[in-house]
Amino acid sequence: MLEIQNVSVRYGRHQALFDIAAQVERGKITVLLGTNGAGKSTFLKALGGLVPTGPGASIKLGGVEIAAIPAHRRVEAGLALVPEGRGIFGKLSVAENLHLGGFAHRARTDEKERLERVLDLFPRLRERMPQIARTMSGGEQQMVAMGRAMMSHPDFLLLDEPSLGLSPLLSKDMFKSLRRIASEADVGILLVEQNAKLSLEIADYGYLLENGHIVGQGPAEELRSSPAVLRAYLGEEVVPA
Amino acid sequence: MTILVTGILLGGTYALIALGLTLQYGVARIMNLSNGETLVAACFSAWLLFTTTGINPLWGLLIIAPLGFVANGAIYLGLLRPLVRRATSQGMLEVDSILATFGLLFLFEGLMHLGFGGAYFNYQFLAVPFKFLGGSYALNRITAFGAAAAIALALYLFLYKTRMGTAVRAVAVDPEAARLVAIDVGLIAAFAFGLGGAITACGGVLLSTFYTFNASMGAVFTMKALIIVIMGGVGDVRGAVIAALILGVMETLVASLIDPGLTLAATYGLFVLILLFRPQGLFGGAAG
Repeated sequence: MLEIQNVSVRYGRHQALFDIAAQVERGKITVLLGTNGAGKSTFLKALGGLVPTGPGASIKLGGVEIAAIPAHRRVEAGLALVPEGRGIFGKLSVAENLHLGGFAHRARTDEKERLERVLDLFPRLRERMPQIARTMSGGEQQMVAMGRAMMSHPDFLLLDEPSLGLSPLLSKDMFKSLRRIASEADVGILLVEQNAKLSLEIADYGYLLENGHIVGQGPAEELRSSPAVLRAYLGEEVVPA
Repeated sequence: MTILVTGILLGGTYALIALGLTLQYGVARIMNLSNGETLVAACFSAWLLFTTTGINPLWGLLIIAPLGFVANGAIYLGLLRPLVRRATSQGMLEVDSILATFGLLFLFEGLMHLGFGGAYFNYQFLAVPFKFLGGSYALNRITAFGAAAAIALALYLFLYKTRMGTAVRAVAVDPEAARLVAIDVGLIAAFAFGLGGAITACGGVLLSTFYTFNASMGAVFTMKALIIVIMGGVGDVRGAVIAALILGVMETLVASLIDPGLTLAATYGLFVLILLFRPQGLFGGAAG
């Protein structure tokens, strides 16, 4: 279980997040929905340790407090973040990116088997191992980013808009892979998405973020039919009877 | 032909000095203007070892390179890391670190002046002719080139074939992304700064076997290294090696065909040309 309490983030005088509380379960997909600028990316960065959280913040991973430790040690604790813009090493090859994914000590045992699982999940990467990452298409780079995160043997995977820039067909594939990762590797996934429709279809639970506040939450099937969600995020889906 | 071979032999040592600088700048993001002082200190250390205890400079590498690593690592942790910590932007760090290492340059140069005075030093090591490709070359130059090539190859294998080396390159490419794969960026930066110092120190030891040195030549060698690094493309190991060979050949050409006194002028002339026309390096595509 990933238990988050009192997470606030300030950028200078602007407060981006206000006392966020949320939970992510292993083997489940939790989605965080919100419009542009709601604070979704900031929230993931705060969990990953890339932006500092305010006093009193608590982030417990399997009962262990990680809110005060630096980003690289959070990876050792079992958290893997695929940030906005993917954060892959553009000048390095696909193979090197995946190899670095296994840099964490927790990832050193069974590394070969894990690489095989990642390559089974994203068969495209197998043919592209020597290619320099930044010369690949957006969808392929997203696979590199997720594959690299999986190589660190995470208990929890935080993904910032994995469907961004992908065609609808590729987005569907991507979401299918997420389902497999969650169930087969028993990883808890926290997903930030603008694509509310597709993400609620695969998610187990959802949170709604607005202006830095959690304004709603519930099981995904409830959110799918909730009038507030339909209005705010699935507007185009509401067809007048 | 003789000029070409002599130039390449000189370039081999230059390559090591420049690789040290490019590691420090590429990974730790510190443009270390006192890099040449490491080189001079290594020259004097090799001379001391050789003249007082008779230790062969090639064995001396095994003592001096670790000292270069420790000294540079300590400089990074003690003096430069506070600058890294307080810097709010890459630009601020560059300005601060250039000023700080510029100061270090004078400090170390002054200390070595105090110890050794302004006189020129050299020692006789393998100063025998060696016939090769129809020409005759000093054996110490050939030995220095061979050792430089071996060290550069070892560095290349480390950076490209080991996970630790790949992590060093990852920090150079994207420090923030490096944190996301559990790399301790501060630790790797200190390690790379120390390793860069060790490589430059190796260059100094090898240089001292065939070159006359004095306490105040550090800045000149920092400039040479800088020219090579910029010519080869910042952080590009292969580029630095080729650029070093070009500089070595060019200096030898100018010294033997025109006038030895013009070597330095030619070096700086090349620097200006590169900054004007290929600031991203001879082999670099887009900068950064």
